[in-house]
Amino acid sequence: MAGQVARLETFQPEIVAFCCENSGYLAAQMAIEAKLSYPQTVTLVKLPCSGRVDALFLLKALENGADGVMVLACQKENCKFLKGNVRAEQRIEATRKTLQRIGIQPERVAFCHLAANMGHKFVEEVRGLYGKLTELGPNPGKVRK
Amino acid sequence: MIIANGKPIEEVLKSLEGHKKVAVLGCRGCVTVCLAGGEKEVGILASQIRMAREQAGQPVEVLEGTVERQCDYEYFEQVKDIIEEADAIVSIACGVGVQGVAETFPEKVVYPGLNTMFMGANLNVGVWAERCQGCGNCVLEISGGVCPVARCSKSLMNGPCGGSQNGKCEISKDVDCGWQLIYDRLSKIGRVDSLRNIIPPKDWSTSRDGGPRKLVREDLQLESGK
Amino acid sequence: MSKNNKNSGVANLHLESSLESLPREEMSVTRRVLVIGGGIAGVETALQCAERGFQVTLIERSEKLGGAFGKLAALVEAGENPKDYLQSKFGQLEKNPLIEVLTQTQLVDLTGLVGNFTATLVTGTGKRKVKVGAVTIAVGLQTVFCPVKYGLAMEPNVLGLTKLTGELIEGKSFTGKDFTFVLGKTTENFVLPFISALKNAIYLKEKFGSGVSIFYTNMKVGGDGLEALYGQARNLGINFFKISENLELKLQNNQVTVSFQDPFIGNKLPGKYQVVSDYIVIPEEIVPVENIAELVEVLKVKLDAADFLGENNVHVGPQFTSREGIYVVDDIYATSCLAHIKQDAELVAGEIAGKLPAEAFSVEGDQPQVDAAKCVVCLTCFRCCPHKAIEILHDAEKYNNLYGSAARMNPLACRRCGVCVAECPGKAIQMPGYQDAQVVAVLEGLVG
Ligand code: SF4
Ligand code: SF4
Ligand code: SF4
Ligand code: SF4
Repeated sequence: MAGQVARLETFQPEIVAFCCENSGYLAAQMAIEAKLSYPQTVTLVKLPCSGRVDALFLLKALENGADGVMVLACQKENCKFLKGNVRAEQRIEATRKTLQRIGIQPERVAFCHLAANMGHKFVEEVRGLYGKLTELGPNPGKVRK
Repeated sequence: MIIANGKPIEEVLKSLEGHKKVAVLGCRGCVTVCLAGGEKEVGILASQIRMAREQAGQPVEVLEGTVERQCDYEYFEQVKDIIEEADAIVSIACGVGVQGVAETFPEKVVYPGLNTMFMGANLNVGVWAERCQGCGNCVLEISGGVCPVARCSKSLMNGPCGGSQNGKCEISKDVDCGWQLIYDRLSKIGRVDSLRNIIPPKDWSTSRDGGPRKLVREDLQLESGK
Repeated sequence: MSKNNKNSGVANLHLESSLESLPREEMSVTRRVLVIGGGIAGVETALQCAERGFQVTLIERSEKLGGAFGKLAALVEAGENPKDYLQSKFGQLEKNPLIEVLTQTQLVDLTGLVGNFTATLVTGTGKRKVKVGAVTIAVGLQTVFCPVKYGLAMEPNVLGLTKLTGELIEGKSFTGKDFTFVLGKTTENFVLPFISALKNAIYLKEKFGSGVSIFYTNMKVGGDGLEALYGQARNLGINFFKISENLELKLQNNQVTVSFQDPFIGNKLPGKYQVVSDYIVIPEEIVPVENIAELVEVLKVKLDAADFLGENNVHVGPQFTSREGIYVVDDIYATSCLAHIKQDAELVAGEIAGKLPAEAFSVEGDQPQVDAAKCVVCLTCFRCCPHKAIEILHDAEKYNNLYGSAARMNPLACRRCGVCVAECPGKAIQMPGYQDAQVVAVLEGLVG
C-alpha cells in the first residue's frame, strides 16, 4: 500500500481524482511506483483527456460521497488535445461558482496542471487538497454518506 | 430558435422550499440547442438541488426527465409517471414549456428553471444574439434583411435616432446601431436609395400590442377542433 | 462496487471488454496528397509520397519551384551546391508520372476531412477542385532584414546572413576582409541562423583568410553534427564572444567597431573591449510567410503562440497540426538543414501512408459514438472539437430523429479526446471505454 495516513483522526476526506491519462494518471502511477505516500482515500478515475471531464462528473462525485474532487490535466499549452485542459478549467470554474452559491465551499474542487513525470507534484496536490478538506470537514452536500 | 439561460440557483431553491419530492424536466428542443435545458442540464440542476438541500438539512428527492418538446403536449405522456409522483416540477424548457406543464397537469405546482430571453441566433459556442421579435408583420424585405424591430433599440422604422455614433447604439458601445447595419447591408446590395421611401407608421396590432396572439389556420384545423 | 479500488491505481472502467464489441467501420479514401509550397521541403515531400504510391498535386504560389533554397547554402552539407541539388530533384519530379506540379497556384478552400478533402485551387487559368486525402504544408519561412533593431543603418557593409550566403554562392570575393557576426536575441529560438553563421564563417576563413568574430547571446548547436561544426570553427581561429545586452555597434569610414564587455574575460580584466572589422553580418528575422493567416483559415488549423504552423507541444510532433491529415514539413523550429527537411518529409509521407493505407479499408470504431435519437444537431460538438473531426451527416433512413441528421465523429479525423462527449447538451455522445455510465458507476460506488 502506498499511502499511510495516521488513523488518529476520525475524519478521512474522500477524494475523487479525475486524471488525464497523458499526464495526471501517469504521474499518479509514478508516485505509486516510487512508493511516495499519499492518502488512501483517493479514487483515481482515468480519462482520455481532462477535456472529457463533464461538469456532471464533478457534481456526481460530491453528491455520492466525495468530500473533494480534483482534475489533473496536462501543462498549459501542452494538452495532447490542444484545448482539452482549457475547456476543463472553464467547466471547473463554473462548477466552483455554483457550488459556492449552494453553500458548498468551492475549494472542494481542485484543478492542477502537471506533466507525466511529476509524481511528486501529484502527491503534493493530493495532500494539499486532503489537508484543506480535513480543515473544511465533511462535504455538507453529500447525499450518500 | 428560442434562447434561454438558467435562473440563479437561489431562485430555484427558493421556489422549491418545503417540497419533498421534485421533478426536473428538460426539453430536447430549443433549450437543448442553446445549452440551457437539455438532458445534461437536467442532471446538473438535479444534482445541485440535492446537494443544496442536503447542505441545508432539508433533503429532497429529485426525479429527472427530458421530453422531445414541452410545447407539444403529447410528449408529456412519456414523463407522466415522474410528474405524478413529484409534488413540484421544475421545467427547464422555455416559458412555453413551463406553461405546457401547467396546462397538462393542472393540479401540479410548476416552477420555471430558466429565464426565457429571446429569439436569436447562435453566433458561436456560448454566444447568442437576438434577431427577431415576432412582430407579426415582417419588414425584412425593405430593410435589407436586418430587422429594425429587433436590432434597433427603439424599433425605429425610418432610420436611426440622433444617438447613433460610429456605428454603435447610444444605449451601449457594445450594441451595434441597427440602422447602421441596415444602411451597410443596403449599400452592399445597391439599394440605399430605397431608404428614401418613407415607411408609414407600423401597425403594431399584430405584435404584442394587440394582446395575446393566437394563430388558427382553418385549412389545417381538425374537425374536432383539438 | 465498494472501496476496493482505492489506490489499486484506477477505477476500472471496463475498458477492454467494451472495446471488444466495437464494430469496425469501412472507409474509402482518396490516395492523393496536396503539397503546398514548391520549395525544397515540398519537393522532397512530393517525391516521398509518390514513392509510397500516392498521387501528388504540388502547388507553388510563384512562377517557379525552388523557393529560398538556392540562396541558403547552410542547408546543404559542405561541398554541395544547392542549385545542383535542386536541379537533380526537379529532374526526378518531372519524370514521376504520379506527381502533378502547378505553379502560380493557390489553395483557396478546403472542405471535408482526412481521406476525403476537396481542395479548391486557383491557377492562372481559373478555379479547379481536386479531391485529396491529405495535405502537407511546406511553405517554409520568410526573412526580414532589420538592421535598425541592432542600432545599425542600411549600409553596404551591413549584411544580412542570407544575403551574405547568396553573395558567397554567386562567387563574390572577400579577400582580406574581416567580418563580425552578431547573433542576437531576435533569432534565438531558431537554429538555422547559427548553422548558417558557422558555415559562412568557416568558408570565409578558409577561402579568403578573413578574420572572423562571432558575438552571440546563446549558441544553439543542438542537432546532428552541429557541435562538430562549432569545434571546427574554433579550431580555425574564429573568435567567439558571449554577450549580454551591452553591445555597442558603430559604423565609421567603412569600418565597423564593436564595443562590448565580456562576461568571462571581464572577471579578470574588466573594461570595454573593441573589435574592428570591414563587414558586419546580422541574421534576418525569421517570420511566418505573409499569407499564413489565410492559409490557416482555409485549412482550419491552429497556429502556435508565435504564429507558426505545427504543434509546439510535448505530446504532438511538430510535423502535426491540430487536424488529422494536415501536416507540416520543414517546421520552423527544426534546424531546417537539408537532412532535417528530408527526415520530416519521410516522416510525413510515412504518416500519410499509415493513415490512408489503401483506397478502401476498415478501421476500429473506437471513437465517440452518437445516439442519433438524442442528437439535436446543435453543432456544439462540431464547434468544440479541437481537431475539427466532426461532421454533420444527413441520412433520413439511418438517423431516427426529427432531423434525419446526426453528428458523427470521423474515425480517421478524431483523436479520441472526449471533449465532444463532455460538451454535448443532449448526452447523445458516448465514448467507448469511458462511458458516462461507467464513470458514474464508479462514483456511485464511493461509499459502499
Ligand atoms: S418548449 Fe420551448 S424550448 Fe422546448 S422546443 Fe418548445 S419552444 Fe423550444
Ligand atoms: S420585422 Fe418583425 S417578424 Fe421580421 S424579423 Fe423583425 S421582428 Fe421579426
Ligand atoms: S453536441 Fe450532441 S446533440 Fe449537439 S450535435 Fe453533437 S451529438 Fe448532436
Ligand atoms: S473525441 Fe475529441 S477529436 Fe474526437 S470528435 Fe470528439 S472532440 Fe473531436
